[in-house]
Amino acid sequence: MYSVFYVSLLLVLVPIQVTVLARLSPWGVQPDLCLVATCLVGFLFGKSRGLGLGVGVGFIQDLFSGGAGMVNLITKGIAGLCSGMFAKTLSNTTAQAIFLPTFLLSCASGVISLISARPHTDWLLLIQELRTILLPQGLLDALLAFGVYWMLSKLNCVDSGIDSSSFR
Amino acid sequence: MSKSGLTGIVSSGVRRVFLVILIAAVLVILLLPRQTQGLLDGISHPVAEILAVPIQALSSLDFSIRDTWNHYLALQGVYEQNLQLQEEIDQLHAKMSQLQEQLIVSEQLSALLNFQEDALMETVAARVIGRNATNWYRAIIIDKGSEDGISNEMGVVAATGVVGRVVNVNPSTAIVLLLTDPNIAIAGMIQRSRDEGIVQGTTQGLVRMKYLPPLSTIEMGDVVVTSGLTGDYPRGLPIGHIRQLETGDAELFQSADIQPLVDFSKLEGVLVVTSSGQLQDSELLPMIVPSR
Repeated sequence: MYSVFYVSLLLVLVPIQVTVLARLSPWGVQPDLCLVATCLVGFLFGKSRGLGLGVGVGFIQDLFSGGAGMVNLITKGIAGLCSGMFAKTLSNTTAQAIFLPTFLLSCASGVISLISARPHTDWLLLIQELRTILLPQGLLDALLAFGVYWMLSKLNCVDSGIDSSSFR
Repeated sequence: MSKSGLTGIVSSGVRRVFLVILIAAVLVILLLPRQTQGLLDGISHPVAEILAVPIQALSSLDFSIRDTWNHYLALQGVYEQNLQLQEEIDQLHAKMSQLQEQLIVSEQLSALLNFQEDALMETVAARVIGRNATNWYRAIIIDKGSEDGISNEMGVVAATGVVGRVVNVNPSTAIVLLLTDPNIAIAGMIQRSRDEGIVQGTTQGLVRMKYLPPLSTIEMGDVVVTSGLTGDYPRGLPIGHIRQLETGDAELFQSADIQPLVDFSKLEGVLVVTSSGQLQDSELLPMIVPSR
């Protein structure tokens, strides 16, 4: 069951990111759907699955991005691993509890991507991009993760249906 | 020990091994990027092939929804007429700019009849099927790839002007970095004064012309065209107009902000320059001498 879920996420996330989401960009910044999905999978199903999805989706994102190297594979992989590890420290994972970690993971992943995308740029310009792109993106990612988690919990998917045992 | 308990232990062991393998793989990719590149390249082409299908499907859906919406929202006849006229204006603008360029070139070199100038470029038409996969690169995804003769570093143009350059090629798709991305730089020239410089994107998503000679007589509104110094674009393709000049006393060079002719947010189709070949004199002369 989980493998079907995993493959469908891999097949759907990046195409949605580059087509539909490219048109929905408040403040000229689009949320990173792949990072949000990776973090949610990490929070819900643990570090192995978070890391697995992060590596897969990051690899595909790198294939369709303008940059060289495998930056997204590494950052998304680490984000999935960290979210899984963070979820383990919580006695009760809630939508509110995942807001801040998603924001922080998005910012950390963004900083690495930014530095690799602008290797020769002035620090002042980098700081400006931090303010105008990275922080709004972090906020959007956190809001999206919060919204999806909240919706899943309202649909009783988090407590009853979607736990790791149902995906074995 | 019960059967379910044993299964649980095995399953948790498998998961632990899977986790260790994944962490090791990420570490290897992080620490040995060059060595793992070949392996990743081998995997990337088939994966990109598979992924091209849902991207193209979603893009077609997106296109048809927008198309239907536009037709119902506006009056159908007026909308189509407007679109046609706009296209005509764009084409005439591009043609005028190229003819102007050819005229200047022919004047300069009229004494030397054995010149080889301007471009007879070979292009491949492609449709834009996607945009930026991340916020850190300004790029578009086109529906033509290595199977259609596209390769890295090829120039990409639209009817109105220069769009960008191909940076990543998959079998049936390619990624084009736009002119507004700071990682792109092309050789440009002020059409009127013939001063050359480098046209580069900025982090704010604007376009800037750098390294212009300090004594250059650039004026606001001057047209910037490709200089043809690099092989990816032929000479004389319009890039944009000078919007703002920057001349510092202590600066060695002048620089200027450019207003690109292409509206990058509305790009739907582009041409990839597969060969920026040269025109022979016999081919060029009929184009610059008006027929009677």
